[in-house]
Amino acid sequence: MYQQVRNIFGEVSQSVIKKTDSLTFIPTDPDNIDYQEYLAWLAEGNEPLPADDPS
Amino acid sequence: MSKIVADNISPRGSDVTIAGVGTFSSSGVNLTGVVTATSFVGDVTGNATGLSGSPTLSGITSVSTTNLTVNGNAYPNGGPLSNRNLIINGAMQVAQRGTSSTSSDFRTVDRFYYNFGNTLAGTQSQQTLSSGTPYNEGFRNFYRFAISTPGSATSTYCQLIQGIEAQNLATSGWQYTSADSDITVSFWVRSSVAQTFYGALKSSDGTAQNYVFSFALSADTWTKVTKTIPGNTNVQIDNDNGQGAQLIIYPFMGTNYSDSSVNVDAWQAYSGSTRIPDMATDWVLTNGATFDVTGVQLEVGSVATPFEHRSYGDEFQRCCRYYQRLEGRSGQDGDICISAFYTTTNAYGPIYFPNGNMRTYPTVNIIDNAITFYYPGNADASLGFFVGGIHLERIALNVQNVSGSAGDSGFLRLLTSADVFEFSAEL
Repeated sequence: MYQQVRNIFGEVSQSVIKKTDSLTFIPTDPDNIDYQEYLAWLAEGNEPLPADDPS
Repeated sequence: MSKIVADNISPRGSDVTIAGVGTFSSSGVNLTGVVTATSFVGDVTGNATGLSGSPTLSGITSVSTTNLTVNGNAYPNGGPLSNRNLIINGAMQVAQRGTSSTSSDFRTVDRFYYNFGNTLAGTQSQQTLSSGTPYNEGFRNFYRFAISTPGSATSTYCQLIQGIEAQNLATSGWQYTSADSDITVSFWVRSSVAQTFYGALKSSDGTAQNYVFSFALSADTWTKVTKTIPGNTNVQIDNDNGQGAQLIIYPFMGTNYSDSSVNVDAWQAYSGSTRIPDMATDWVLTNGATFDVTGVQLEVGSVATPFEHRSYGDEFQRCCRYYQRLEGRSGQDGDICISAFYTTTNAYGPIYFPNGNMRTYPTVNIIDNAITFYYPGNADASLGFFVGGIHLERIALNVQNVSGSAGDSGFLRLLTSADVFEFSAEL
């Protein structure tokens, strides 16, 4: 499972996605194999959890 | 008579024989003693055999041969004369993540991974080599998979893989689309169970192509496997930082992934359900069975030259293009990144990768056992983390759940070896 994250400015990050079961941050980079896995997960019809509310 | 002077000696038969010296005939000269001359003129053809002593050959500007062996060492017939091995960490020296794991994929030895599952359970580990032929050739480590729960004949998979960066293959000198250009794989392998196993070179760009080869092992016996693989017009390797090919060694693949129709020693389009021919199940059904590999080399040309031993430091740096880590150390200062408070609850700062740029933007994994953030007069644990930006050489780290004043600075301490920042850009 994945979750969107907010950057320090409170905006939903367009460059990083987070795994929900760990402190694992994945760049939205097509050459990154974890991002490739995320894209395959999206292609199966899944959607990431929305980012937590800004603190 | 002390001397015969003649301008022309005509044999009575076909030969002229001088007793104690040799025979002269139309097919050649056959002498029984030593030949001494100031020079020889003309081509030397045929095989020169029986050379002994210390003959000195000079003036030779070119030697052309398919397989040249000197003192038992094979010499290359293609590719460069250094940095020949396209495999990284082929001697299994570097294991940044650890030396033993019961999990699949990247867990122990760098750049390689055992991918296994579907009822099969076991331990992958970096092992120490203490004797045997590979030991005598300079190897001190090998990579092992040991079965703790045997698999099934149909669905189990267990494969040892290294992905090779495409640009390293594209610029290697292997003319991968030509059947007249070769690349050669070699490795040492040992199984506790006698059986025929398989390996493959699988291209990754375009329509994936698969070249399968087999090797038979006797139980508990280190065996050197060599296989020369020609290019093929269907192979595509891009000049980029993606995966160009995988070298795969198969301890086992169930029939869900194999088929008796798959040809060995030939290129064919890759299919996940027909990767290799059907395998015997002796190894995978044996509890406690082991499979060991070291000395993996992939080089341009048709000759398997001696393994290119590289220093630990050299291999370590090569591995760090794909994986790096920052790890704490109990009782020691250090492992600190300076961070500045952006707000009263958020600190922010960069962490640069300790060993240079990575292959691509890496995945960042933070293992927080007791990471502590120190700043004037305080120390916060139970932190939150957010990675705001990931670059080739650094990340921007946001440390949350701190309580300071905007503009203060502080530092992050990884207090034990269980506190880790991992950066992974594996293929």
